[in-house]
This record gives sequence, structure tokens and C-alpha cells, in this order.
Amino acid sequence: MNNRKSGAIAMPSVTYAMKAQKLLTSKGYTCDIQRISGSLTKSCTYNIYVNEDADIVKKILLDNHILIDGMES
Amino acid sequence: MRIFNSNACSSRTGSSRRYNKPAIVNFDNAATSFPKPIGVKTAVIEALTKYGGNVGRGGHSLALLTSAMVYDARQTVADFFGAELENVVFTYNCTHALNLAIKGVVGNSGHIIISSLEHNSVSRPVVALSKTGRVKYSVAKVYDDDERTLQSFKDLITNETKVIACTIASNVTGQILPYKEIGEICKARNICFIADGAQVCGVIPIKLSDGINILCTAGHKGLYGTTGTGLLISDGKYEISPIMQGGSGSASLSLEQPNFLPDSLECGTINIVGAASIKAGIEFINSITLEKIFRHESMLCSKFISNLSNEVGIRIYRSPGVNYVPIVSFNVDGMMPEEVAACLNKHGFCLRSGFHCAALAHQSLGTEYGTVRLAPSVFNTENDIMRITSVIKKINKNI
Repeated sequence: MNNRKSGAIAMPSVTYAMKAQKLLTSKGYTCDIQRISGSLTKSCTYNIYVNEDADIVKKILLDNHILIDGMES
Repeated sequence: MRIFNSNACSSRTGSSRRYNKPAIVNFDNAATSFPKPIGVKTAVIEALTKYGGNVGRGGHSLALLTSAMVYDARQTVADFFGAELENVVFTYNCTHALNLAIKGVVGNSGHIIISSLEHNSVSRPVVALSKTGRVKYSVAKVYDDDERTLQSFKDLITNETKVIACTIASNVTGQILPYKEIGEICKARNICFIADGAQVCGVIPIKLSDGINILCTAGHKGLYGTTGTGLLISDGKYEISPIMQGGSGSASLSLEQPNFLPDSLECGTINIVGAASIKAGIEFINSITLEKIFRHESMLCSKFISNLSNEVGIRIYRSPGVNYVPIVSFNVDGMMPEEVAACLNKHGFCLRSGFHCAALAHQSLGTEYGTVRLAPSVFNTENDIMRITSVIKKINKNI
């Protein structure tokens, strides 16, 4: 994954993953989406990878009312 | 009932004698719009040829490409109605959306108020809920005077009232209810306002900020999408418990339905081609503007009414001082609505007759045999109106 700086952030669904990607891209970050099975949430989900510290990314998402499922440091 | 001269039905009269089959003119756009814009046809072909994956069901290229298209479609809908995109739920039609909303909010108990102009897509789910014995409902009478209509809603509110579910505009007469004021009443009393927008979306500007908590609409009518499409758009204030469960592409190891929108209400594969068509339909509307669409279709209805206004024997179901979307119901004295529609069909005009799946509305109108309904779209022309009114005059004169 290019530009990966943070750990993964697990999103509840592809809709939220894409919403997060749009938001973060608009703020100048690089954000990749990857389908994941059985990792953070013990389920099928979509992780996002951002070239920023995961805690900062998490705060940006929550401030914008975008649900997340979990984080991987 | 007068004896009808079947010659009046013939499309082989006068200058149309040379025609074997008259060109079809669709005035049944309140049922489903036709023709569809070129952009919608293109979007459907593109969806069938390019977006071959499933939404949120994989990480491969096709799945992600398709998911991105559906995301864009969801965003287009959200922008059009002033919603958050995750609160846009793709359904199979407006009835599906209304069932999800009404049953999902009311649950097993409570009181619902509907209007006297409802389509069966509102009245039937409500009546079905009432059969359980713990859900009660009341019908608010709609008047020509909005203040009286609002009072009739207010008078029916009880401590148990959970939901007001009503149409924004009647699918029979086109009468627009004072929906913004109904929204205010609901907000003041913490009642969920579920609005049936089937006849207004794509015709007049509708936003959740009009006081609507949950907007339900068809994708295939004024929004010009394909059949098999509908929308439920929530402001997120009221929880909508799913009435169906199944695969959502998310939380796959859980045996319970996800509790977040849109996944909680989108069970199984959505109509991906339909989502593409709705997106293209809304883009078509935006390219023309709602204002121009409404003005054009209303002008056609006004011409229709004025052309027939001096005809003795034709009854048009409109009242002065009332706001209407571009729908006109009418009858020809002494003829069944189906006879009139059949005659018009022989001349190439497609209009729906009968009761329009709206038992309550026809009870309110007192139309024992129903009506004939003219519902133009942006594609109809003044010439279409001149031709159809000419035929109606002949039918009325029984010639």
C-alpha cells in the first residue's frame, strides 16, 4: 500500500469507506480502500489506509460523523 | 349511462384515416414515466456492460468499480433531497420504501395518522398493522382549505401518535397537501413524518429540510429511472427497524442485521442498474431544472383544462385556490372511465382509468367508478394536449 503511514481503520461498510475516502482525499490525504476478511471486526469489511497518523484520521472521521468499526495500530 | 357510439372511438376518422396505428403518446407518467431520457438509456447500457460487480461484496476491481458508481448514485440522490448519503436507501419501488418506513418506525404498537387522499401503498400497510390489534390509525380529512386540513390532522393527534404518514400530493387529483406545515406539527410533537413523494419528486423541489423525517418515493416516475426502483431517504432522527433480514456485505459473521443505514434496510443485492438509472434521471432533471419541468407540465395541464372548460358533460376534479402537481383527473358524463380510456387508447393516448390504487382518495372524491387521469411528463407537448382534447370533445359529443 503506497503512502501508508497509519494502521488500518476498519469501516462498517463500503459506503462509509468511500465516504471516508472522499473526505480524506478532499483534505489532501492519500486514502486507499481494501476489502478485508476476519481481521479487526472478525468479519468482512473494508479497511482504509491513510498517509496520516491513525488517531488523527479517526478524529477527522468522527468529527464528520463517519462511523468506523475499529483501528489497527 | 348513455349508449355510446363506437365510431367515436375510431382512430380512422377525419384526417387520421390514413393511420393504421397512431403514434403512442403517454399521459400515464404518474404510473411510470415514458419515454426515458437518452441519458438514462445510456446509463442503463453502461451499467449492464461496465458495472458487473456487486456492491460491497468484494475487493476485486468489478466490485469496487460498481460500488463506486452506486456511491455516486447515492450521493446524487442525497444532494437532490438534502440528505446524508448513508441515509439514502435504494428500494424496489415507493411501496417497498413506505412499508419499510411505516412498519420500521411504528413497530408493534402506537397510533398512525394518514390522510384521506392516500394511495394504497400507505393505507394498506397501515391497515395491516392495525390488524395486530396494538396499532391504531386515524384518517385525517383533506380539504380544499389547507388550514382545515391541518386542523384535521391536529385534532387526531394523541399521546400514542408515533407517525403521520401521508402523501405530499394525491396521485388521483394532484392536490398538494400542506406538507411543510404537517412537518412542523410533527416536529413540535416529536412525531415521525413519513412522506410519500411518489408524485412530486422530480416535479417540485422536495428537501428533508421541509420537515420530512423519512421521504419515500419511486425512482421510475418523476425521477425518470427504470422500473424496480424506489428510495427511502431518512434524516436519521428515527430508528427504522428492518422488516427484512439478509446479506448486506457488511458484518458478515453476525447473525443479526447491521444496525446502520443503508445496510440495515438494504437486504440482498440492490438494483444496481436501477441505481445508475436514477442517477442519470436526476442529472437529466438538474440539466433542465425542476422549475422548468413543473412550469411546462403545469402549462400542459392548464391547456388541457381550458380546452375542455366549456364542454358540457366533462367533469374535471379540480378546485379553485388549491395547489396541484401536474395531474388532472376527469370524467365524461355517461361513460365509464374505462370506456373513455379505451377510446383514447385507440387514438394513441395512454391514460390510466379506474381507481388508481387509491381507495381512500376516490372515497373522498365520491367517484364511484373512478376517473380518467392525465399525467404528462416533460416529454409531452402542447400539440399532444391539443390533439387529446380534440378527441375528448368528440367522445363527449358521441361522434
